[in-house]
Amino acid sequence: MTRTAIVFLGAATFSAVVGTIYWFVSYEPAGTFMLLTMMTGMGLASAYIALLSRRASLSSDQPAIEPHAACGEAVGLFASHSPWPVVFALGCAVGLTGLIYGWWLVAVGAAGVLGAILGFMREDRLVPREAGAAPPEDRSASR
Amino acid sequence: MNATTAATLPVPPSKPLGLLDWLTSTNHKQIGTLYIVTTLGFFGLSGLMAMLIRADLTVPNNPWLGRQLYAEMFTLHGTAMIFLVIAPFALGIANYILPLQVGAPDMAYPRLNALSYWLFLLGGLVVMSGLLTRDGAAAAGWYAYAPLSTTGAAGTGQDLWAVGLLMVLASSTMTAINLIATTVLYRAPGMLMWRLPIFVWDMIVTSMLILMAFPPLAATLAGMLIDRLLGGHLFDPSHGGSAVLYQHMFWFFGHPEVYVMVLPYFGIVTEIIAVFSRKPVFGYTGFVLSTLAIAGLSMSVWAHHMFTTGAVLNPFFSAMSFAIAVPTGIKYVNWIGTMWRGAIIPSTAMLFSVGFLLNFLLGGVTGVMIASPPIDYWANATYFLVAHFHYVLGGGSMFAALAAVYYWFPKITGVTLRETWGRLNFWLIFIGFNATFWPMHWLGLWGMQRRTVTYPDLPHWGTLNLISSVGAAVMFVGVLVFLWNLWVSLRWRVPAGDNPWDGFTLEWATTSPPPEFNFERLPPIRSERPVWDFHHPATSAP
Repeated sequence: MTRTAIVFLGAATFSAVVGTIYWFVSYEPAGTFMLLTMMTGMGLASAYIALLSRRASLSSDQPAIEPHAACGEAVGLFASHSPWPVVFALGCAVGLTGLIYGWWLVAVGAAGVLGAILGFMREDRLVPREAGAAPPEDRSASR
Repeated sequence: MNATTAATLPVPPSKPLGLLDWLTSTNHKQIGTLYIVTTLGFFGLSGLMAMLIRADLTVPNNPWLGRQLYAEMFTLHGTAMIFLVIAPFALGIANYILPLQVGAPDMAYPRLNALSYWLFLLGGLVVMSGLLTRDGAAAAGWYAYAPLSTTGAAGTGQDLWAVGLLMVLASSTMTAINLIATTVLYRAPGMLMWRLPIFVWDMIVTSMLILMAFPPLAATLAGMLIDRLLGGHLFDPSHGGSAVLYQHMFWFFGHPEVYVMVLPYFGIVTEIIAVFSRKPVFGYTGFVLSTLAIAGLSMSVWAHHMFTTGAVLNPFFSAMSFAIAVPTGIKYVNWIGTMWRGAIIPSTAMLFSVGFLLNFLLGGVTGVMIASPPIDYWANATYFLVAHFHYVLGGGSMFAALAAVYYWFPKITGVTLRETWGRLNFWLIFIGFNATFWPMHWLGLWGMQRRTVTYPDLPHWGTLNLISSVGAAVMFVGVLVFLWNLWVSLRWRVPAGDNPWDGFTLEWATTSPPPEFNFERLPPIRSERPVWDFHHPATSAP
């Protein structure tokens, strides 16, 4: 298990212990529920990271590695520019203020959010599946 | 550097220019810069509100601002400082610096990162837009207790406040996920978790706190909107709801939020103190473990904000609150141990860091005092409390934020800020800050209640309030000096070089400002000070 997973597991254990003690000394449901929800969330994160780390071998976890030993290792694909985040956020702002000023604004906002989601999906389709090919509008990085 | 890491960096064929570039960029450095500039804008707005409040309170029996506007000012001042300045400024610094410090080319999810920023900006503007409505902005205080905030007494501004903050919460949550994923997945070769810079550790723990504490507030705000807009009665005791439930849910967020606003700044001053003491961090492992302990304990002390309700188990929350002083005390041992027998360089960044240590200590000591229910019963809702949290968040976090600006400005812009203006900036803010907030301890102990538009002419109250307002004016001049320093340094540029402070961590291994993918090459990483190890092999880690 990686140290990151242990940190999350520690948080989950802590909230389980405190939540249990808190319930038996106070019988107060709101705080107990929130502490136990926190335990669940942190436990899930820990399990997910532990599961991932069994499948991945990161050069960052090798204590004596020289940087040139990782040369050529694919780091990832990074979007360079995208108009959709700002469109998505504008859709959220308009849609949520529509709760106050009128439901028609909610429809306008939802249309913006939906358009942004479609835009994100279209951008993702442009990313080539074959290894080594750089997509036209994204930045690929390797060591 | 002999060991290299080559990167294939295809240049995008048609990069947008000007405003379009900033609107559509997903690069962490541009987004970090946007965060920093935006939070400085909100800081200016919130600071002006604070000046109005202090002007109103300068002399007794002088409610010239009026009760409604006064309530709007202290509500928006608190909201802006907490949700739009202190916490997001740290997220902005982390956006820029964290990928550099772990040796990553960008944040793990660049588009999510851009979405986080735009949600933050628009959410902040929605909160502030309440000022433009006919019945005014939110006026129920920054924690907007029910049923005051959920009944018709509060106007449209309160709705906008809740909606805007929901967007800000979503933004912070996404940034937290991004910071954790970047650190876990994109560390440079050899950057073990126990070699991470302290700032990165503090950001991981801060991000975990955000993930644990922000959902309850989102649920609270959703409940508030249900009560206000859809006729719900979740928090309305007269219809079977519970106002105490609101307080539980709010403070389950509210106290960890204090550490969301403080832990990143612990990390910042730790980096700065080590670099300007020319020593590694004293007790690295202890520092990380104490940060984790603070985070854990901070999740279990929420109801010390509710001692006076009589509806919570005071001994439990008092004991947990006292306990949090232990890991915080360990940090002071770390900081003093780092400076001990170090070759201290009194730069402006170091001055602000030492100012942080002094002010935060005072805020911490008064925090321990009010963790005791008998004292809290006396001090609750008085100016003693106002002094306490301003020493923690203003004297603590704000000083560390300014230290961060002086420390990383050369990396971000390629030029250094003027040290002479910086020192003047420090002394004006340090003196102004203490003149503003120290008298509030006495005012609170003598019974002056917070959130009142004016006060009677009781012995010493007028004098202490006058000192406080003069102090605020001095601080205001200090902020003007800071802005002047920014202007002078950017207008008449003095190139900083890549590593002006002889820094320890990886951001100092690249150019100032860094290229698109941050690094052309990296040094071997054998400790938490890889750049120092590379440049000073005689004192480096084995």
